[in-house]
Amino acid sequence: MRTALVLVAASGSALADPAADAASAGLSLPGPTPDTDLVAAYYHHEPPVELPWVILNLPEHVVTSVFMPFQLGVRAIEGKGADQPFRGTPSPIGRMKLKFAPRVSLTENDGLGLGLGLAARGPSLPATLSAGATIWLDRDWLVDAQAARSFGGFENRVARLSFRAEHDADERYYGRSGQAPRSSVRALENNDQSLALQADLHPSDRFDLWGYIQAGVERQTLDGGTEAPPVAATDPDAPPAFAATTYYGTLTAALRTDTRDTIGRPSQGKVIELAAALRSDFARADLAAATLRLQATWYLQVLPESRALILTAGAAAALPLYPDATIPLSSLPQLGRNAHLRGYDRARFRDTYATWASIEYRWPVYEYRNSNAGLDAFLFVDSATAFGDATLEVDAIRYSTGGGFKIAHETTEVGAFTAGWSPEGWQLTFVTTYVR
Amino acid sequence: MRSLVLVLAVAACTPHWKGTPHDQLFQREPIVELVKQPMSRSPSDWWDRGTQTLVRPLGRALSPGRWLARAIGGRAAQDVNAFGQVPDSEWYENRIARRPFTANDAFLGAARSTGPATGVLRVISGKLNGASPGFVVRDIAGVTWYLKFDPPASPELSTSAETITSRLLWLAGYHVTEVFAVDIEPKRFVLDANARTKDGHSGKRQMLQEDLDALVSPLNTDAGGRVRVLASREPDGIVLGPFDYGGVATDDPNDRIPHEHRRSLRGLWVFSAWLNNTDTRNQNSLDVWRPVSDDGRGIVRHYLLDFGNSLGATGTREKTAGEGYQYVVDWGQMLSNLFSFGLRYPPRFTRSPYRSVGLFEAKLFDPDDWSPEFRNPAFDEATRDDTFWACSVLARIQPDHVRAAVTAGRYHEDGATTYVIETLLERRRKLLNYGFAGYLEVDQPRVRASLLLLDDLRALGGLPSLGPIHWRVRWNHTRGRDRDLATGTLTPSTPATPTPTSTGELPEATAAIITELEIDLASALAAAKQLDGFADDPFLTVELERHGVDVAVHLRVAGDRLIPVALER
Repeated sequence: MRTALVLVAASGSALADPAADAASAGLSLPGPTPDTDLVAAYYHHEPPVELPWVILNLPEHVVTSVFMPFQLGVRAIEGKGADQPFRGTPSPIGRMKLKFAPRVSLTENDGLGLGLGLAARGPSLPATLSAGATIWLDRDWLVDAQAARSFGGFENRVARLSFRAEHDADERYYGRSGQAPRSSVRALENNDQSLALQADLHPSDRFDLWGYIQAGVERQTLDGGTEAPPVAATDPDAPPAFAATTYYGTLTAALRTDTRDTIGRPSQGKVIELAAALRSDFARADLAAATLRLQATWYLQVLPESRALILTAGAAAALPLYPDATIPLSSLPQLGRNAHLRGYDRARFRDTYATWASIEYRWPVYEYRNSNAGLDAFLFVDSATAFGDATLEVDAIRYSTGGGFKIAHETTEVGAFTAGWSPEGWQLTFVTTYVR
Repeated sequence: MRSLVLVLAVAACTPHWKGTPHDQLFQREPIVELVKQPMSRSPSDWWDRGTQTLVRPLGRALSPGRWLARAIGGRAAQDVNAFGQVPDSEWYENRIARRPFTANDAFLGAARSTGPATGVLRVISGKLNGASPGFVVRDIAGVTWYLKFDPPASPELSTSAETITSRLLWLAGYHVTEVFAVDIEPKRFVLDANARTKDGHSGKRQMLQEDLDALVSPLNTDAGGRVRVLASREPDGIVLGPFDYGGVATDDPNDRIPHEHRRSLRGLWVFSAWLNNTDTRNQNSLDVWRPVSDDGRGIVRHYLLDFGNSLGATGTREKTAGEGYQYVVDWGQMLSNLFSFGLRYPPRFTRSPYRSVGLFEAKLFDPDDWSPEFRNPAFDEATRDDTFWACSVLARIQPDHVRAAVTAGRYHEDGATTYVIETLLERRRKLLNYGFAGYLEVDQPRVRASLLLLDDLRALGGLPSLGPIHWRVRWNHTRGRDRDLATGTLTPSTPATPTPTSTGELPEATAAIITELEIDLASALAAAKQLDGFADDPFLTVELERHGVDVAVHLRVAGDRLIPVALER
C-alpha cells in the first residue's frame, strides 16, 4: 500500500487520495520519487508526551485564568468605549465635556481610601467645575468642589471659588511640641468645612511667576477620636477650641517662582514659594495666628534623561496675631509623612516653628517611548525639626530616609508610592493625588 | 524467549531514522480533514497586549516548566523532520529554502497582479482595526484592497517598509498577502452609500464624505496630484480573523501542533529581527478559510500581514529610540534600570539619516538584544536549533534578492535605497554569525549518483570559511560494531568581500562562490557491500567535523542508490 495512503488512513482522514484533494485545493505537493516505498512525501507528526510539561507549566495557566475576568473589562473599554468618561466625554446635559479621574489613597493609620473626581467644562458653563470625594474604609471622608473662571479683561486671570469638607475621626495627635514622644499619641476627631475665594495674581498662561490672594471662612470642630486613646478636654496639651465648633476667617497670599523644565518630571529648575496667612476666630479674638512659610526646591540634572537630584529647604513659623491670642491647631507648622519627614506619621510634630531640608535622587525605571511619561524611582533623606521657641537645636533635628516610585508625565504627577523609615518605624503610602 | 528479548533489545537500540518510511528532505503536512467554515474570531487587541506584557510574563516566571526548559536549551519544535526541515503547510512553504529564486521573483514577492485595477475605487469601509489610518476599497474587477498611508511628516516611510518586508518574508516562505506601494489620484475614490466606519472605539457608523476627505486631504501628493498608498489585496477566501501565536485553534482539526512549537513561527523571530518588524502580534496575522470541495468544506491558511512596523517605521510615525531594542514594557530592563540607579544607559540609535527610512540601523544591532514591542509566545520558545534553521533560510536570500525587494519599495529620497540595502545586508551578516555559532553549517543533504551533496551555508551567506571540514564514512551497524570505510577533507571557499564602487554603490554579485560541498561515496559504498551483514542493515553515516562541531548524515543503500534519510547535529 502506498505510504502516503497509509499515513492518511492512520490519521483518520476521510480523504481517499490526498494528492487529488491537495491538487484541487491548489496546494503544492512534493513530486513523486522512485523510492516512495521507502520515503514519505507527507510529514508524520508524532505528538510528544505533554503531560509532564502541562503539570510543570500549571502556574502559567492558573495565572492566565485568574486574570481572565479582567478581559471582560478590557473588551468593554475596547469595544464599547467604557473608558470614555475618564478620557473626556460629551455630557448628555448641555454642551459640555465631562472627565472623571479615580482617586486612591493607601497609607498607614488612615488605611485605604477610594474616590472619584469629576471635571466639567464647556461653552454652556460659566466656569470650569470640578468636584471629588474620597471615602476611607474607616468611614472618614473628604469632599471638595471648585468653580474656576478666567476673566479676559484681566489677562485671563482666574478666580476660583472652592469648597472643602473633611471628616477625620482618627487623626493622630501627638500634642503641640516638636519633642513630643511617640507614646503621647492620641486620636482627634476633626470635622472641617471651608469656603474660599481665590484670585490669581498671574495671567493663566504664566507659569514661571505665580501667586494668589485668597479669603475664606472655615468651620472646624475638634473632639476625641477613635483607634487610639482619644484626646480629652482635660489633657494639658489639648488643642485650642477642643470639644467646640469654631468659625475662622482666613486670608492668604502666596507667591511662587518656578523655572522647572516640566511640572510632572522636572529635571532642572528652581521653585521658590513664599506664603503668608492670617487666621482668626470670629467669635473669640484669642484664637488667631499669622503664619509664614518659605520653601526653595532646586532640581539638578546630574545625568542626562531625567536623572535628577532634588534639594529642598524650608522654614515656617506661626505667631499669635494678637498679644494674648492662641495659635489655632491648623495654623501650626506640622511635620510628618507628606509634610517633609516621610518616615514619620502624619502631623507627628507640630510646633510654632519648623524647618526642614531634604535631598532626593530620582531616576527613570521605565519611560513609555518618547512620551516623557514614565515610572521613576527615588531615594531620599529628610531632616526637619519643629520647635517652640526661636532657638534651633541641632540635637532636636529628626531624620528619615527611604524611597519609592512615582508615575508621572510632563504635566502632572499621577501617583506615588513612598516607603519612609524613621526610628519610629515605617510609613508606607500610595496616593494617586494628594489627599492627606 | 531469548529471541524475543534480543529482538526487543535490538529494536530499542535501533535509531528512529532507520525505520520506514523515511523522511524526505522536503515534505508536506497532511491535511487531516477538510472542514466547514470555522467561526470568525475577533480577539481583543488590548487584552492581547496586556496578556503579553503582564499576565504571561508573570505566569512564566512562576512556572517551573519554563525554567526547566530554559535549563535544557528549550523544548524541541514539533514540526521538524529528520533533516531539521519544516514541512510545507498552510503555515509555511519552502521557497528559497528549496530552489533558487530570481531577483525578479523577489521584486514581485507574493504579487500575482500589478495592484488595484485602473478606474474607480469604491470605498466600502473605513479601517476597523489597527492604528494606521486607511480604508477599504473595491476596484472595478471586484477585488478588495486595504489601503494605508504614510504619515504626512515621513513620506514613503510605511508604504516602503511594508512593501519590502512582505517580499522578503514571502521569499523566506511565509504566506503573505499581495501588497503594492502605488500612486493613486484621489478622485478615483468614490464613497459607497453603505460604507461603515469606526467612531473612536465606541462603535460603527455610516462613513461620510467628510470622513473620507479627512483621511485623504492631509496626504502628500506628487507632481501629478497623486497620493501614495499601500494597497494590500484581500486574500481569496473568507477572512476569519487573526491567529494566536500560542495554542491551537480548537475548531480546526488540521491545527494539531501548538503554534508556539512550530519551528516556522519560532524561527520567524530571525526574520523579524532582520527586518526590524517589531509588531509581530496576533493582530497582525490572518486566518483565511479557502473552500475546496463542492459541499462547502475547505482548509484554513495562515497569513502574516501588516508590516508597517518594520524597518524604521511604526505605521503612523518613525520608530522612537528603544523600539526594536526592548519590549514596550520590558520587565527585565526595568529591573536593570532600577538596580543600576540610573547609571545604565542602553545604546540607542537616535538620529535617522533618512526621513523615508526612519530609525533603522545595523551598527548597534545585536541579534541577542533585539525585541519586538510585545512578547510573542512562539519567539519565547525558540531554541538554538530553530534559530539555526531560520538562519539557514536567511543565508539563501542573496544580496540580489534584497536589492530587488528594496527597489520594490520605491524610495525617492536620495541615498535611501542604498542605505536600506546596506543595513539589511549588515543585519543579515550579524544574524547569520549569531545563528550559526556552535553549528557546522552544512545543510540539505542530497545525492547525485555516488556523490553526497551538501549546501555550504556560510558560503551561501557570504561569510568567510572557518577552515577545512573533515569527514569520514562508516557503516552504521545497529547489531554490531560500526566499520570505518573512508575519510577525507573538504575545503570550503571564502567569498570575496564586496567593496563599494566609486559611486558608493555595492557591486552586483559577480564572484563565483562554491556553495555546494561534494563527497564521493563510491569507494565507501563498494567497501560496504563487501561486508557481512550489510545487506540486512544497509545504512551509511557520513560524519563531518570542524573544530569539534559535527554533523552526521545518514544514508540508506538501496541497490545501487543512496537515499539520505536523516541529518543529525
